[in-house]
Amino acid sequence: MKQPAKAAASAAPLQTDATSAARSPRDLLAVAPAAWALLVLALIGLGISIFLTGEHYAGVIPACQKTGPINCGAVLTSSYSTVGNTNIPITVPGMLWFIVSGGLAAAAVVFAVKRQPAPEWLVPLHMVWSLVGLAFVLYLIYVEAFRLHEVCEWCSGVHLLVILTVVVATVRYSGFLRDRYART
Amino acid sequence: MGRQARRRQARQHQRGGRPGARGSRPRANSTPWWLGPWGIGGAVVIIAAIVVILIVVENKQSPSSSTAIGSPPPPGVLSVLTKPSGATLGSVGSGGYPSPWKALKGQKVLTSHGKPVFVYTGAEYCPYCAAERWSMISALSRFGTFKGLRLMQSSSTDVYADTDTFTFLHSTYSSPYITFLHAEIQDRNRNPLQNLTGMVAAVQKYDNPPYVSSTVAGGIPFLDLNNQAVAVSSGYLPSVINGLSWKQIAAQLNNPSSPVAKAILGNANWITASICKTTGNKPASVCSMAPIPSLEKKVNIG
Repeated sequence: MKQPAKAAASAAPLQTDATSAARSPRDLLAVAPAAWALLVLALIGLGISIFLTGEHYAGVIPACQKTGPINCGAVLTSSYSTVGNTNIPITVPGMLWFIVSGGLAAAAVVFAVKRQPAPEWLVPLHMVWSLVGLAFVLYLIYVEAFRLHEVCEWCSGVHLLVILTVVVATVRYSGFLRDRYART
Repeated sequence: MGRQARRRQARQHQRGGRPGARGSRPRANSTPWWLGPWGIGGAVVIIAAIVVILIVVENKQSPSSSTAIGSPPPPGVLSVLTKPSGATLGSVGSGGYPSPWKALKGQKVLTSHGKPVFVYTGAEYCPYCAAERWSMISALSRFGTFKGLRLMQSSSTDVYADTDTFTFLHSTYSSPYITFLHAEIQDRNRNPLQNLTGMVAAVQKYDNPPYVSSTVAGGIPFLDLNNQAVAVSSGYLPSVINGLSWKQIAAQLNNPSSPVAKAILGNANWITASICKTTGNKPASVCSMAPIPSLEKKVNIG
């Protein structure tokens, strides 16, 4: 029983979504750093997704670039830039994903700041949601690399944010599991 | 309460206990199995398996290419492209597309043998060049005659793969009204093809801001009309013709309400109107035919 308890203690800094008597901004951030990080990642991703949606509707016809594969316009106007056979830009599901991810993170932050225990499912659900995003991102990277042979730098930024979300969510989830099994 | 004490309290609270009640809370069974380590681990394995399958399948696919590449256009394809009926052209108008041209102000006018010069820079791999060539051939054929045009497809490994088109490589163009200079700088496999020389090289400086938008700067196809106007990229998206054969595209040109006719002929009408501005509306048989006069009023060139 000693080892799980030690593990739980070591995981504490990243999985402290619970409460404290925090009051100053620094203390608020220290309460649930992982949740704060996930919230910031989601807000940045949401901002880029909104920008890319605007670019999709801008109607600018891109050109072939002589200098290399970086061509955001070609990616954003390709046949893969919409959802199925609809006219809905692929960035819209991306926006929704970041909204949900941000909502889950915000909920964790609120519970922590209010010194209330978060629901048991909150951390695992965010982990699952991040994996859904990862699967989506892997598909989009595959399309850019193998289908379009063009890369959109802004899209790559979104992909990086989702991967970072997966990393943070995984560390947070592992802490959650260690803590949970330490209790048993 | 010190910071360390607060953190300790937070950890205790997250574990569901009061201070001093560590480990007193029974294991929660409210989390469904699929949110547990087995469910999430399984999801990771499934994602990894899908990635591996996609990569294996992709590596087994070989790029497609048509045996028609390099051969002369099939009978009927060029004739319908170069000699569309006046009624069709008038009905198409601009096709709903905006003018592709951006005016160049105060630049030295290009002339060759006393005629205005139209410069094209593109590449065989480029799908936007593939789309633009259809309109260019249609427009320029109203002022002169092409010889030696050959069938081409854009790259098999680029966006809008294998878009059916033509190549200007080894083609010649003669006209009493305008000089057409062209360069295909890379083949459909992106190997170097033609070097930029003379006037074609000289106008490349206009393929940069402030002459063109920064979003397409340095891009191809790049068109320079007599140093009075420039255009980068195609007048319409290649998706309009991607997946259609040369014959299928040509067949739709007779239908002015088809998206293909609106895109190719609408863009060709814009190019024609711009050329008419540089030739002093010669020949009248072309420049006075609808919808050219009305489009000329909307074209902004230097």
